[in-house]
Amino acid sequence: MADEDQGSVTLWLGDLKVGDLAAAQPLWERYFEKLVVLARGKLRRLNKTGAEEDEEDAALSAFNSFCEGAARGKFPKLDDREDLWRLLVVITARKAMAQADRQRRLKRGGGKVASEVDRSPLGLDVLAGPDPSPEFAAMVAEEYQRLLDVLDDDDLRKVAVSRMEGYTSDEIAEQLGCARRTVARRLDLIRKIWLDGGEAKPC
Amino acid sequence: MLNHERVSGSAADDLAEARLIHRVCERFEAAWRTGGEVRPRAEDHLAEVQGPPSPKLVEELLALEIELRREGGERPVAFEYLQRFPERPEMIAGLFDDASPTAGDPDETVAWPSFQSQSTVIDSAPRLALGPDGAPAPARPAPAPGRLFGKYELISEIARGGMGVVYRARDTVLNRVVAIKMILSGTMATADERGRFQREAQLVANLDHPNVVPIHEVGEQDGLPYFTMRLIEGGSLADRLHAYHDDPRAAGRLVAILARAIQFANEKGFIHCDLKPSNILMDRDGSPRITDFGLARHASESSGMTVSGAILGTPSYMAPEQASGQRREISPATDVYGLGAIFYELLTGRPPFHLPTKMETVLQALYGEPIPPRELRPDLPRELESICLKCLEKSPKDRYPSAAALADDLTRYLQGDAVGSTGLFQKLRRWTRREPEVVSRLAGLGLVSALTEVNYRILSPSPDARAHASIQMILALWAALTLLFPVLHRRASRSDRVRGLWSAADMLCLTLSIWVLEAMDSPLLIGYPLMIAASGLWFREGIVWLTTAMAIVGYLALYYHEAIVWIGRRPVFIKPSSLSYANIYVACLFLTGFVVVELIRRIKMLSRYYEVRQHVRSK
Repeated sequence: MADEDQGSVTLWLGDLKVGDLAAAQPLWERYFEKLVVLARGKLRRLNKTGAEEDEEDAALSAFNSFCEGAARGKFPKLDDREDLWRLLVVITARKAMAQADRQRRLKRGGGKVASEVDRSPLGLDVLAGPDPSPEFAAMVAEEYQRLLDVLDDDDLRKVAVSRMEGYTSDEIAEQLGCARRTVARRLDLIRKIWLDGGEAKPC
Repeated sequence: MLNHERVSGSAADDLAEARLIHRVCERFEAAWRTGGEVRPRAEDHLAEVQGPPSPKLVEELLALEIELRREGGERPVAFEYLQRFPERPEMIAGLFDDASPTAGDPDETVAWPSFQSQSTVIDSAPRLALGPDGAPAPARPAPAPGRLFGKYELISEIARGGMGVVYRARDTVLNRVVAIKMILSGTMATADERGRFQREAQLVANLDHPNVVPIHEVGEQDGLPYFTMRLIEGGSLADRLHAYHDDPRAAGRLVAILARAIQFANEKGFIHCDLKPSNILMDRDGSPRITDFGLARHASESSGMTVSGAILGTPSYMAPEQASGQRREISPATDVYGLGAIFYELLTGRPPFHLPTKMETVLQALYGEPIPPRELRPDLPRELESICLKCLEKSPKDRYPSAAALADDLTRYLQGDAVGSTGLFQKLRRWTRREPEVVSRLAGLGLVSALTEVNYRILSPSPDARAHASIQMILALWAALTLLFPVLHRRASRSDRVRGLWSAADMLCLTLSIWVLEAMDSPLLIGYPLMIAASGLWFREGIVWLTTAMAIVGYLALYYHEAIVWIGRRPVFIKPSSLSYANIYVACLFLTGFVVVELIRRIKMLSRYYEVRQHVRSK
């Protein structure tokens, strides 16, 4: 990922060596907790205008659960590439980066492909620093909703939300009355869809 | 797994594949949970996928099925999956070996038993969970390569056959590489049978001959009987057939060497019974070594299958007494036949009998004659052909009395001496067996022709020279066609179209002769149903129906001819007897065809049954 040097989030989520990981984890947790709290607020506001209340509540529940979990010190591990929260932030960060690039190109007369050196600190404004910016948190909230929509299948959505609420595969399998293998398979598909949809369709 | 540094093209493919896997598996699980008694099968769901299913899909679906079965309290075993998906042993090993949290509890994945040494208590504990106490040994799967099996470390799989699996393995005590053959327990169900196998293998281990693969050790580990042999690195003769294709003398030398080794074993009371190129291993220096001595016989005996057990192995190389299941007839001459079959394949590049289905191959082995090698390869020495065919004689007493006699004859030829050649009578007999259709027709036609001659010259009160001449001409034409069609038949590589044409020509000749003889009311009409019945010998429903249709057409043509003659005659009201009951006759022709077709269907069904069964067994 070429953009990794662009911000702390992507830096944290990139290929860290084992030693760095241990050092970065507390930073990440602090950052992440704030980010999710901010994003939850944004999500709430978004949902006020939303149509189906139940569904939105369900989506929000992941954020609520996460905040409860965070209070007990439960955070996604930086090195867990399969974690959906981590994935959500990675996808949002990449998107923010792409947007920043596009705006910059437009300013400079469009069409020109930005080189590494060209990148403005706008991306960094959004992402860097010890605290997440409200803009980025809003993007996370929007991205979260979009990614749930992309899943075009209620079963997949349920698994995604349950997973982000912090349930294990076994617990999800029991809740849904399906095989554990099925939960694992759905999660795999969710990740693939998100990675595909998260990058192929910049808005 | 998630890897976002992947190139995007393959990521898209990955997604498409993951969606497909998801769809298939969701459907399978839904069918499983709603199906009640009717349980979906992974195979059926895989078959619905367009194109060959990807390994990932198969793996995912099988893992799901295994989990669902475990959920229902079953204990699926790897052996079953090996039988169902024989082409994916590694995947199945992985599925039953998988300790990943998604594949089930680690403590549940004991179906693939641990093949550690029995001496440690810990290792044997999970195995006890496998089968209920006192029950016959459960069907045990073969261990995956890379495992420890007793004192042997399995390196890689070499071959897999009807009885078991052969691995390259390292003897960790003597530190040498050996071949280890494990007998899958499906083949030997009871302890008694396993004991017999052991005793037999121990006897074979005493066979000490430079051209026999030596057996090092016989034993049983984790309920799997096994034996170890010297590892022969050069592959089997089946992979080297082409090397002999242009050198019949080398083939002769090789068979002579094999025959001497067989003679040695026969003298010690061993009959191989499953001689074929894949059982001849080639040393690095090119010297042949016979393997699987006596074990094939043992396996088929102990499997408790009397008839189909005899058809265990490939019928292409099987002596008739073996194919017909007459165990008492098995003698050293059976091995002479096997040597002849190998020789035949070395000379011609194909086994003596090789037809699309096993049933047809077995029938050929029982009743047919192989095509003489020189017809396939005219440049072969006549002597070698006659030696080869003598080995392949149907009756054991017509073959060489011993493998030594075969070796002697071959050596004589190779040294340039005269070989005990085959007489004219034997050649004629072989020809009659090889072309039964031609011979039976010619004999029948000859007989009819002779009788006609007798009728004309002696019995007939008022001989009609013209009718006689035309009937004899028709018979001659028929005979000519009879000689022509086999040639066409062979040219067209035995196509059904030629067979159909042949039937049609027969029918035409029959109709013509009845017409010339004006014999509508004579017993000659029996010819039609006879032909329909005879056409059943091809085992092709289509040909029977065609022949039936031709018979009906032929008969109706005769009928209308007769009717026209009758109408032209005076007085009209006396109906000739030949015109009565025509509808009944036509219906009977149709019924005859139907009965013959029904018989063919049943025979085919039986044949399929045995083939499927054997297929399953050989996996």
